[in-house]
Amino acid sequence: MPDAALLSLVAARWEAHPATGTSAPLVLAAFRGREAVLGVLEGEDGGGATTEPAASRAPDPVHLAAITVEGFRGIGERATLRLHPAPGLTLVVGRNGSGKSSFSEALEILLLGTNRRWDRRSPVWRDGWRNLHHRHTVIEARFAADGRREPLVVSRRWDDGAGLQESTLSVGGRQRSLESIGWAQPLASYPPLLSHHELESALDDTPSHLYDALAGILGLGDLRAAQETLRGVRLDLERAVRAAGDPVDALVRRLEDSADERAATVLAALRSRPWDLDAIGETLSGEAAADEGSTLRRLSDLAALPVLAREELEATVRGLRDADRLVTELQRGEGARADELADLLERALEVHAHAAGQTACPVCGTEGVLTYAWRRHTGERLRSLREDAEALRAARARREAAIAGATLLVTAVPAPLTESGDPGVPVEPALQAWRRWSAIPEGGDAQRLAAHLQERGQQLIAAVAELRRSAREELDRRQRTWRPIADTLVTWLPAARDARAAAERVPAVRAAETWLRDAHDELRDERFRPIAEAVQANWSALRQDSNVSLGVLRLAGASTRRQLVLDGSVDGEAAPLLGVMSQGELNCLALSLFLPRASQPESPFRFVVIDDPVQAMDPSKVEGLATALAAAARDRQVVVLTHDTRLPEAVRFLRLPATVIEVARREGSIVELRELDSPVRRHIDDALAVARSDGLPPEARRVVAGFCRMALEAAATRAVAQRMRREGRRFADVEAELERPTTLLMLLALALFGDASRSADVVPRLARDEPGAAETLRICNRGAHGGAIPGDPAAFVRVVESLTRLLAPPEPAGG
Amino acid sequence: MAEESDPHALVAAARDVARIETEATAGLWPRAAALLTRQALEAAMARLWAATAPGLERTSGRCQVLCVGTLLGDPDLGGRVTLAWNVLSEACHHRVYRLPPTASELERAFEAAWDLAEATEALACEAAERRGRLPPRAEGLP
Repeated sequence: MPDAALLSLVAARWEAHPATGTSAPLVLAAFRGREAVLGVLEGEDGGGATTEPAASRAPDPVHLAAITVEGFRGIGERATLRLHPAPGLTLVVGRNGSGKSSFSEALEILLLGTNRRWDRRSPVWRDGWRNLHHRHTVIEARFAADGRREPLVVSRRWDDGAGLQESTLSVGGRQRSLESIGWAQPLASYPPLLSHHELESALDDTPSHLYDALAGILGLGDLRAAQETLRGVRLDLERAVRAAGDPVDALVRRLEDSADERAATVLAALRSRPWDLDAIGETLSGEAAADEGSTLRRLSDLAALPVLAREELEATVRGLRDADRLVTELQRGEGARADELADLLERALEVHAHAAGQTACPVCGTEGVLTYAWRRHTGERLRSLREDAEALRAARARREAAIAGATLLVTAVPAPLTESGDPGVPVEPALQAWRRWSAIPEGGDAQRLAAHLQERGQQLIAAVAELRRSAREELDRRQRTWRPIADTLVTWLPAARDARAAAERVPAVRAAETWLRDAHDELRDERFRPIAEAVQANWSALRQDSNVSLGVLRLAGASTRRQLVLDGSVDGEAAPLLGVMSQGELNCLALSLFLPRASQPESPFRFVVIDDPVQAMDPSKVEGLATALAAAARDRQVVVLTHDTRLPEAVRFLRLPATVIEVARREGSIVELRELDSPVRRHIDDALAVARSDGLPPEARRVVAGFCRMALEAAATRAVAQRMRREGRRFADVEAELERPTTLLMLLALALFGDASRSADVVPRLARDEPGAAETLRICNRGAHGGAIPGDPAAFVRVVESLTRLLAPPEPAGG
Repeated sequence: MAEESDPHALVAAARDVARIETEATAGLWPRAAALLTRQALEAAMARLWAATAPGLERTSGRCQVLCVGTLLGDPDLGGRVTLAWNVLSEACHHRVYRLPPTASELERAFEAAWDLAEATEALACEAAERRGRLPPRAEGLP
């Protein structure tokens, strides 16, 4: 879930500068990830423009109270580096191999899991992490969490024989991750550990790494992630557009080469802007083939021309001829006059019936012919004639029917034959054949009709069959050339549709991206300014004699072009900084960059541990370093490990308040720690140096009293902080409390009893253990204002020294 | 001898050594300037002790510089004088591998010595006024 504070800043900026061409949902969706962005692009409701506030509160600020190491690297037996868990500078000094760096490495491996320094080393080196003189390995750090009585203990244990990665981490006595106490992100953003190796190599990294190292502390990660999300979506969209566009040139060439009319349609669609994808889709699905006047349609019509069946034709012709032959046969002889004869004979029989007994023929007058036998014979003949006439009529009717049927067989010329335009196959023979076929001879003569049908019909069948075959072949040929193109188009079309949708979405995403980038840059510059100023301040303290001055320091660019810009000048001439700086200067610059990063108010780590920053530095830079460290130590606990005596020397020279702890390693990796110097020690030493001087004039004795007073104040201040921390008070309270006492006795009362008003009880309490307390405190209270020390000033300092020890509260059990 | 030397003049001489290049001082100037500046500090402190704590000039250099802040009532200047003293002492004791002080270290030492001379003189003037007469050096001023 993105940082709620950041989102509200973004929302406020949106109110002030809405982006054109995009929508707030798109910008806000970018914070919820890729799916959300795609959802908005698909037209889903932006949804959840409001976000839940960050769930967990920030972890408590912590100071470092102790690092305990056992069986790790240079440390064998359990050794503890105790630190005063409060702002201030602590130097841990020791020769190389004294085990000093083992403490910082241990802390690093405790907090970060693996030591960054070791990641780059050989396995042999990495296998040497275990101390030779000790079997099991334990690293433990105690952190004083602000406002809590009990320290937070973080420890990592390795069983005998376990690998470096096989450790058990426990936090506050329970096995759990640092993530669970909210440290994972701060450890990445505000790393409180800086090894010498990192100092050396920090500026060797690419500008984008430096950018990342510094940008992490700005808390703009979500904003950058949102930008990256949008960028990723946009790149995918653009890739989709390109993926569709890439094959188009090749497609166009193939289409241009194709004679297919569909190719022309598709070409036209591809040449229109934007592509007419619907037209291409229709062409592919074949709907376009049904178009009027389309050659393909005509070809397929021609290929499907109606076929005159040869059998039917022959049957028709035969039927015609048979019917006609029958009529002809029946008409031969009397057949044609059968009806007339029958009529005549019938009339004669009637007449004969009326002239009873007469045998003479009324026509020719011949006697004796119209007999009964005649009458009987004629009657039979009449019946026969009537039958013949009937047969002829039937035959004629049948012939008419055959002619009508044959005529029906002859259909008009079909439309596909007569359409204009060249279908690519010879239509003319079939057309002519059909026309001749259609020209039925006039007169209804069955024989001529049969002959027409017989001849023209055979011709028609042949011509149509030929045309159908060639049309089919032409269709096949066209399909063969078109199919591969069509296949390509079929797979291309969905990509092209996606691309068109993508192309429409790109501007909105781009606008949202630009908007977010501007918002990011604006917030980044705003948040980076104080850091850049701190870096500048550090650099001017550290540079000392360097002729390199640091100009503008800023974070610029985005994504792959992000970089840390270091402008500067050498002896007043603008120059690329990193190239002209010495290694010592580079270390200084890296430290200048690191200290502000580790000192961000948002960081829960109120301590920084720096391992060996002094190497390769000029003496004057060591002084600058000491000054910069002391400045950082005003509100941070700064722990510096060094093998170089120059830093503690510089700290002493410059009289900077610091605690110096010496690490020494005896045989068998027994590491011992000893406090060499501290603000209290320093003042006591100074007081002794003056007090022991032979011939010290009385006027100078008050100098001793002044240093003694400072020693007591330093001891009391430290004691107050320790007491209040154990009471679970917050640091801000401690500082406020320390502002209050106006006299030394009040401060001592605060240290001894936690109550500044009990100053009257201070002397009786201290006098229990130190008889000289009363007079000593009286003189110190006047301090530099003229406390006259009676007797031996050195003895006086000894009393003060013992008083400072009485002020320190006892170490807690188990600490 | 130190009492008779003028600290201002000694600082000015040290600055000249550091600034003017001649054959004679080539390679030697940092140590020469350091020596002159330390003498300036000793001279200024001697005047300071004369006015505040006679006899202190006979104690060790470390003791003296530690007393400057308190007896002058200026802890900051005291710190700077201590630092300058440390730097200069390192330079004045010949150590084969010890690098001479850098120009900026010397510059800060010059400033500390000069400021101490000024503060000492102001203190001496105040003391003389309280006694009703001006110290010898102030009398010579226009």
